Amino acid sequence: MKKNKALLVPFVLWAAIFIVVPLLLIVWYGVTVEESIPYTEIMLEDGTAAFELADGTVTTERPQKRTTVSIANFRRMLEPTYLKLLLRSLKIAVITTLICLLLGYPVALILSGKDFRRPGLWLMLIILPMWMNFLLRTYSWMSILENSGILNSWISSLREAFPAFDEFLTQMGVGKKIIFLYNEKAVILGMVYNYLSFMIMPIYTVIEKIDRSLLEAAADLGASPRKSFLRVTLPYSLPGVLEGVTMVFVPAVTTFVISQLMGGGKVPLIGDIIQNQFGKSSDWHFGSTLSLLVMVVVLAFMGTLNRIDKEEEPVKEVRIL
Amino acid sequence: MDNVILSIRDVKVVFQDDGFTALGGVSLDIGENEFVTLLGPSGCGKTTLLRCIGGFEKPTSGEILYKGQNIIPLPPYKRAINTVFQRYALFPHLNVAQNVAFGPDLRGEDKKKTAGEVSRMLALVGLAGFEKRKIASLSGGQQQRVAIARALINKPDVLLLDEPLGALDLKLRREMQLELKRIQRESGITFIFVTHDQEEALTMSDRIAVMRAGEILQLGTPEDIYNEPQNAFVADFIGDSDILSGTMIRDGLVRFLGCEFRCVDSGFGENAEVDIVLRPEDVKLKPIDDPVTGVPQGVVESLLFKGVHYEMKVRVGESVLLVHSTHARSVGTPVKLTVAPEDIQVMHKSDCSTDVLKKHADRAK
Repeated sequence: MKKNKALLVPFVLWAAIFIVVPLLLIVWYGVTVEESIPYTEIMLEDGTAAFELADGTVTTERPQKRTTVSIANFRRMLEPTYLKLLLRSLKIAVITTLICLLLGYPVALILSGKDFRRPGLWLMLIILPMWMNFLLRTYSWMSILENSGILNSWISSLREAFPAFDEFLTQMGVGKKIIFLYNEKAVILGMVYNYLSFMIMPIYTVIEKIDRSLLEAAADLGASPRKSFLRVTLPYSLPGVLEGVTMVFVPAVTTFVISQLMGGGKVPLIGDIIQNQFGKSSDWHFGSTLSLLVMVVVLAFMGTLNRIDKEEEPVKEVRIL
Repeated sequence: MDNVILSIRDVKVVFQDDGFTALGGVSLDIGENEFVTLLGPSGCGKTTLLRCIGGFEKPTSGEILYKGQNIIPLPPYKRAINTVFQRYALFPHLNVAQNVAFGPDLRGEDKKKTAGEVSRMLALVGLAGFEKRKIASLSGGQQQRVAIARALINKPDVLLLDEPLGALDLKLRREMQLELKRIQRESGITFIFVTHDQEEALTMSDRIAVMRAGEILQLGTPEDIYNEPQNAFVADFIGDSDILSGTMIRDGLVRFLGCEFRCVDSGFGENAEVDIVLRPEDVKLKPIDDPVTGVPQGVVESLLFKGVHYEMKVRVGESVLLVHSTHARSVGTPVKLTVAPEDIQVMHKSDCSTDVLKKHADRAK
């Protein structure tokens, strides 16, 4: 037992140094502000520069900024600008998660089917793109979707080759160049592409583990494939769905790279603003406050999911009209 | 048989993956309210045949007629046949009552009526009052009974049971055997029961189909199978037996263990090579000074007390015979062996004779 505990030491140290301390720092930064001390620059009789503070004291040293505990940043955080950003982030994350679920669940279901040959190979193919650099993948999408990108050039060639198609598009009010990038849809596309496998994997793992004889028993008792899906597969796959939802939703709420690249800065998300505070604006305090806000939202979300997961009453049947 | 409910006709199953022939053309008629057991060692195809009837396996060729209609194209959920699975396959997310009510719920039957039915079924299998219990909290025997109730509530015409007693201890097993037999008799349902336990098969069945390597070797009542096995494999598989090589001299006269015996079998031709099966309780031991002549003589090699009888091994030349008797003879005693003509079962040599004879010869070492 003692030996086992000794094995924990590196992890505890790691967690303390790289998780707990930074977290405390964020909290500290979040609840403090740096303010400049107001002063007037005066010239002393001997010609040296001096500084007179608000309370009348005079000092020859230029007063430094000071850090004080304040809720100013929390007040600022509640300004409509930031709340709107948060809401947009949540909206995009929810849409992304739903699309990933709608696309990913059937894939996981098909891959885990008993007649599906070589599911391992297909899973590999799904994961394979994830081995490439994340930025590279996103840039590839940009070069496909750009105004003078691959997709647009294909469409123009098609238009040249088939005048009827050209006419049809023109009548539909589609311009010569279709603008795919730099809007919410592009951001969502980028997120779905990058996070889809995080939805597929946990669902696949859970469905694949469902005892086949349960499905046979359901069929034996008169359940059509649809009924046996609703009464057995779906209830049993819920833990995988919840896991997949978490794994997609959380990074989707906090991402800033995808929105910067695919959104071209036109679809700023809460992640972008936080990144700005630590970069351009160099206001670590407000950045930390916003981080805390996102953290609370994510924790609340995960808490809700966990509660669904641990519901005492087992899901008897998932009813879909 | 005039009340055939299920007719299996030349059903063949060849697995696509490896070309293995699981069933090599099996035919079997099963009557209404009959208890038929598919008996055989693991890998003999008994479970595959059951899965074909249930609809979980598609035969490569052949027909399965249910009340005259070929049901092979029908998926399991359209067959009026229910299954008790080997590992029960109860739904762990549902409680006992919800498990049992699964079938009626699917058909959209009235909830109140179903609840009454569920209680009745649970009482039938001896689990009254277990409605709200979780599956995980039940013992193996209780789970098995829930599985039976879950199948029976649908009032199937045919119930398939895939080694349902396999996971139970001996005592519970015996109880459940009687229980199942009672349920079958009272419900009037046709039971098709799969097991590798010959004793279980003999106790419960109206008829037994002994299977080996994807074929039915013998089909008959437990008495037929036990007393008149048609080949060495069946004789060896069902109960303790002594299997010997012999020669049919002519009808009613057979030679084995170096002596000639009168027997009741005929139709093998003259001087035909045959297998002989003797049941250990049919071999009688006489003192060496008994006046009887022309019988094999041997020496008792071992003696075991088995409760109701003694089990002795008696060496006769190269062979060793298993003998059951209520009268013990000490090790080393010379004896004479006699067998009544009707207790000698003569069988044609079959492709499995060599294996079985070798196994019995190994006992002599």
